Amino acid sequence: MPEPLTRRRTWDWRSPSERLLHFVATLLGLLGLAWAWTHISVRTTWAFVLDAGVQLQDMGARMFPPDGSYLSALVRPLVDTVHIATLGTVLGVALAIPLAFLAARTTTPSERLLRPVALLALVTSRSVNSIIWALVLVVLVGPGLLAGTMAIALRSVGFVGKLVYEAIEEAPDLPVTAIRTTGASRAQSLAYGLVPHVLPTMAGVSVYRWEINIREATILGIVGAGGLGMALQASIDALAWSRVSVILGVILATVVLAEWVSARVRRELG
Amino acid sequence: MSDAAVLRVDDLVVGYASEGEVLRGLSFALEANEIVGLIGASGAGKSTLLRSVQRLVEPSSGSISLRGEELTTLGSTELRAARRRMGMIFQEHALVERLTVMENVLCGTLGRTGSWRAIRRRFDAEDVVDAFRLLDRMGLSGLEDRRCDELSGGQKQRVGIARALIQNPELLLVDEPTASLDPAASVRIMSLIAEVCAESGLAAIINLHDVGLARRFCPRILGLHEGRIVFDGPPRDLDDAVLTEIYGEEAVEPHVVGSRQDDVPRVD
Ligand SMILES: Nc1ncnc2c1ncn2[C@@H]1O[C@H](COP(=O)(O)OP(=O)(O)OP(=O)(O)O)[C@@H](O)[C@H]1O
Ligand SMILES: [Mg+2]
Repeated sequence: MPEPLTRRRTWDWRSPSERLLHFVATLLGLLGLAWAWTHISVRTTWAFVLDAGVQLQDMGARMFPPDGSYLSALVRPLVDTVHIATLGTVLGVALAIPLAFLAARTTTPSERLLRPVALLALVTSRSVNSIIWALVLVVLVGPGLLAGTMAIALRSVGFVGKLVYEAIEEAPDLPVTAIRTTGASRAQSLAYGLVPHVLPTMAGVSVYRWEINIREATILGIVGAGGLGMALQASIDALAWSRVSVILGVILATVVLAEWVSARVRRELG
Repeated sequence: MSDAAVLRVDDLVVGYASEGEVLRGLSFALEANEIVGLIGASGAGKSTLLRSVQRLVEPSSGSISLRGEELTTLGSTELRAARRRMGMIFQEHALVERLTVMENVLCGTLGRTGSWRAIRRRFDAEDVVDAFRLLDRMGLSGLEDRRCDELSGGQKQRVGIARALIQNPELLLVDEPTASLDPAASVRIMSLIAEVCAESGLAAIINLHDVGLARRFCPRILGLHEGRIVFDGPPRDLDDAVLTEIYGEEAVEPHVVGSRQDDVPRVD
């Protein structure tokens, strides 16, 4: 049989076996979702859920009108919240930056020992929610601002440390090498060749974390760690719904303002 | 033993873990004032040679000495002192793009600036005067506060040269200074390097891809082929046979490596 003069050349994004694999994977995924849903469904008291609309109406009615006179009592908790978030961020960043240099493959003084220790510290910090940190710290140092600040700091370390160490690893190494060839020490060549490249990341990530921390600090009071959350908890316990609505409004306004500030600052840095 | 040579390389062998040996027994010496052009195909080991003189790559055997001082066995403090005496200029500029021209030039003085002063950016007043003088010499007057990512390729290369010169080096190690420049800018940069070497009595090794530039600016040329020196002589001895040995058959046509003298671009 004569060879065709020109063979048609084809190209496929995925081979047939890859297509089959994708089909099976998608099917399994959907089955998994269906199973999870039935699981949740049998453990739900549907009577309560169906009642939700009525409850919402009821709660709404009790929240309005908001108790405006309560606003003045919120100034102190609000200031506390901002303090917790800001101090916690500063503390967290101060701990995160040295850890980031220990954790980055390109700057760590000891790949075998210090790097794994620093990475573990960062992961631990990130894997525990601020609320959990606050619960533990309230037991350790007593309720109040200190516990809140430390909880925010401990949670921020991992977040800031991880993003900064990744920026360090991605920074170009040629400028650092070039400065080393002038006879500069290792510390000097990092200070001049590397730090200018990661400084914008450090600043941007810190501001972004501050914004998140404002949000988180509004809730920490629920477990006794100071700030607006404490007022919220007290009002809910007292069934003072007209105050709850005032607190929720203040939290919303604070968070919106913090996000705006954060976005502005980060735009300036970019 | 006193040694007239600025740099002496003896039976140098250098390898990378992934590549095996890249330099396979190099020997040559560089006298004061001598400008040597190092040519060879891509991967021949030109950059590796410069990097091993700076001990950015550790030689596996052989010796490298700077005015008689053996470099391959130096501890870290003495190595820093030795590095100060050798200015390195990189093909990709290797500037800190986010710092200003002045800051980049002053980086060249870090070897003699204390760490604490360096952190606070407190440089010696003499060094600052020197930096201004070099910027003028490089044709960069008035650009000291510009950030380096705002400069053209040629300007960046001049900043790189100033950074190397402010070290007050005895030797320049120059890795393809013109690779990212157009022909006219290449000639200007090479003239500048040749002039400053002559002015300060510097010796230099210059890696070049452009044989024409090597012929024009380097009174002595080393040809590297697969980690060995296959040519060491003046440009006039660099004929087609030698170029074939260095670059292989395909390359030796006048328009490829410029084996004829008058292929050199002129800007006068
Ligand atoms: N950091 C490195 N790690 C592993 N191998 C390397 C490294 N740097 C260079 N090599 C290898 O060493 C050999 C020589 O490289 P070198 O950069 O010295 O060549 P060159 O002559 O400067 O080439 P070019 O003209 O392309 O710059 C090449 O085979 C290269 O792949
Ligand atoms: Mg090279």
